Amino acid sequence: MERLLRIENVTQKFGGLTALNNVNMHVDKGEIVGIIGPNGSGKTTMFNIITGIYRPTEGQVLYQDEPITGMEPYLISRKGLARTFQNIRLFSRMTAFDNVVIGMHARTKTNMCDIVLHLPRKRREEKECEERAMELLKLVDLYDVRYELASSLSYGHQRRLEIARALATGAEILLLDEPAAGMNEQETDELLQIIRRIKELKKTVILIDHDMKFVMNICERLYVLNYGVLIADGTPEEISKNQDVIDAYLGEDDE
Amino acid sequence: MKMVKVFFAKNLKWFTILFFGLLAVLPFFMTSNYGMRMLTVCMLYVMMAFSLNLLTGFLGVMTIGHIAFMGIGAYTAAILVKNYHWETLPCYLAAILLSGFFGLLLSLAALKLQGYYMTILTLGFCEIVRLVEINWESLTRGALGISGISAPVFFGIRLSSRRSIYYLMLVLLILTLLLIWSIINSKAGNAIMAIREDELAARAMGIHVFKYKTIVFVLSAMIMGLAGAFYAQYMTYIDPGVFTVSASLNILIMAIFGGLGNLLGTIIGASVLTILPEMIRFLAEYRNLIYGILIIILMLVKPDGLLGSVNFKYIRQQASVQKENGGE
Repeated sequence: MERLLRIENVTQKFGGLTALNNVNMHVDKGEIVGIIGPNGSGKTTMFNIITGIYRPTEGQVLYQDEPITGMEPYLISRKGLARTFQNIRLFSRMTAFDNVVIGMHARTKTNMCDIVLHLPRKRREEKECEERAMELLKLVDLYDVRYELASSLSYGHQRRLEIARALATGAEILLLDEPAAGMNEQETDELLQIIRRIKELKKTVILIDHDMKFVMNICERLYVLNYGVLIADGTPEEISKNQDVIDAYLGEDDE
Repeated sequence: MKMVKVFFAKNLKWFTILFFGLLAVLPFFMTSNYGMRMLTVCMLYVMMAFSLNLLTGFLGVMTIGHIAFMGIGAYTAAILVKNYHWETLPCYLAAILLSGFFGLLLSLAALKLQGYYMTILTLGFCEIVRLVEINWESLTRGALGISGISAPVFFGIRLSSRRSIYYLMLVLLILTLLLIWSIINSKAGNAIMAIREDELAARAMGIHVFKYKTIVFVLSAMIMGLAGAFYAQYMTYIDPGVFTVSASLNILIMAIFGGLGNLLGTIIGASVLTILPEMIRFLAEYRNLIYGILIIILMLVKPDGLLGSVNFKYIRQQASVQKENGGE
C-alpha cells in the first residue's frame, strides 16, 4: 500500500502552550482515517499544519515523500490536499455551482490573456468545469439546488457543498474538519453515504469528529489526541477498548 | 416584478448594446453644448466608478483615495502634452503605465493589511500624492496647476469639437466596461469574488490570493490613470485641488449608491449622482441637503445600494432551472 502522507515528530507551540507534542502519523492511499480527541486536544491544529496555515515549531509533513511543511496553503492545495472547515467557510454570496467551480481554479490553465481576448481555451475550459461541477454536485446530492446562493442552503447542505468544493480541487487527500458537527441523525446518514462514495473514487479521507458513532462507523483507522499528545492509534475496535482513551474521554478512575 | 427582472436579466446583453447604441446616436439629436458636456462628464464618472467597483465591489477592498491614481494619470498626460508635445495615444499609455505602477506599489501593502487598515492606507496614499502635486513645483507648477493643455490628437488629427471628445469618452468607457465585464465573468472573476467572500478559504482552494489582488489593484489604478489623462485634455486645466479625498469619496458614494458588485448599478449610480446635482442647481445651497437626504433614504431602504443584492447571472440561471422543472 502506498504511503501518501507522513507526519513526523510534529510539535506546535503557541507561546507557552504546546498544542501538539511530538506527534507521528501516517496515512495510506485509499484509507479513511479519523483523528479524535477531546476539545482542545490539537486536532484542528494538526489540520492547519497539514494544509499550511501554520508552520510547525518542529517536525515535518511529507506528502508522497516530499516535504510540504509550512508551504503556502494555495500550493499545498495544488499538490493534492484539500480541506473543509470546522466553522463552514463557503463563498456565501455565490451559488453552490460557483463555489464548486472555484474549487477547480488551480486545475485550469486559462490565463489573463485568454480571459481578456476571449480566446477559445477560456470557453473550452469553462465548459469542462461546468460538466465536472455538475457531476460533483450530483455526487453530494446538491444538483437540485445548484443555483441557490451558498448562504441560503441548509446547514447539512452547506457541509456537503464544502466537501464538493474540496473534491473539485482534484485532491487526493480530503481533510474533513468535523463534517458531522451539528447534524441530525438523517443528515449524518447522508454524509456517511457521501464519504463512502468518495472512497469509491479511490480518494483518501482524513476526518476529525466528535460523534463517536459516526467515526466508529466510517473510519478504518483512528488516531487519538489528548492535550496535544498522541495517546493511541489503531482500528476502531482497538480504540474502543483502549484504557487510555476511555480515561481521556470519561476521566480517570480515582481508585 | 419578478418577471420583469428575469426578462431583463435574460436580455441584459441586448439592453446594454441598445443603451450604448443610443449613447452613440445621441449627439446627432442633442444640440446644446451644455448637455453634451454633462454627458461626457457623466461617462467619465461612470468609468471611474467602474474602476472603483472592481476594487471595492468585487475584490472587497474599500478605498477612499482612489482619485490619487486619476491625479497621477492626469499629471502624466498634462506634462507630456504641454512640455513634450506628445500625441494622445502615447500619453494615455504613459499615464496607464505610471498609475499602474503605483497601483502595484499599493497592492504590496495590501499583502499585509486587511479591512479598515487598508482603507486608511489609501487615504494616506491619496494625501501623499496630492502633497507631491502641490509641492513639486518645478514639475507640476504646484497650486497654480497646469493650464492650456491642448486637445487630444490622434495620428495628427485634432479632436477639438465637443462631439469628437464625446465619442472619445464613449470609446474609453466601452473599452473599460468590456475589460471589467470579461474579467468578472471568468475564472479570474470567480477567484476575485472568492477572495472577497473568504480569503482563507480561497487560499485553501488553491487561489493565489496575492496575484489576484495585485492584478485588480493594477488594473483598477490603470483605468483611473486613463480617466485622469482624458480629464486633463478635456478640461485643459488641472490643479491638485481636484484630486482630493472628498472627490474620491464622491466616486465611492456613486459605486455604493448603484450597488457594489453590480456594473449596471454603477452606471445608474454614477449617472444619477452626476446629473441630479446639476438638475437641482437652481436650489443653490439646498442642493447638498437634497443630495444628503437622497443618500440617507437609499441607505434606509436599500442598504446594499440600488442593485447591490442583484446578480443577473444568477437570476438567469435560476430561471433556467425553473423552466426545466416545468415552471413551478
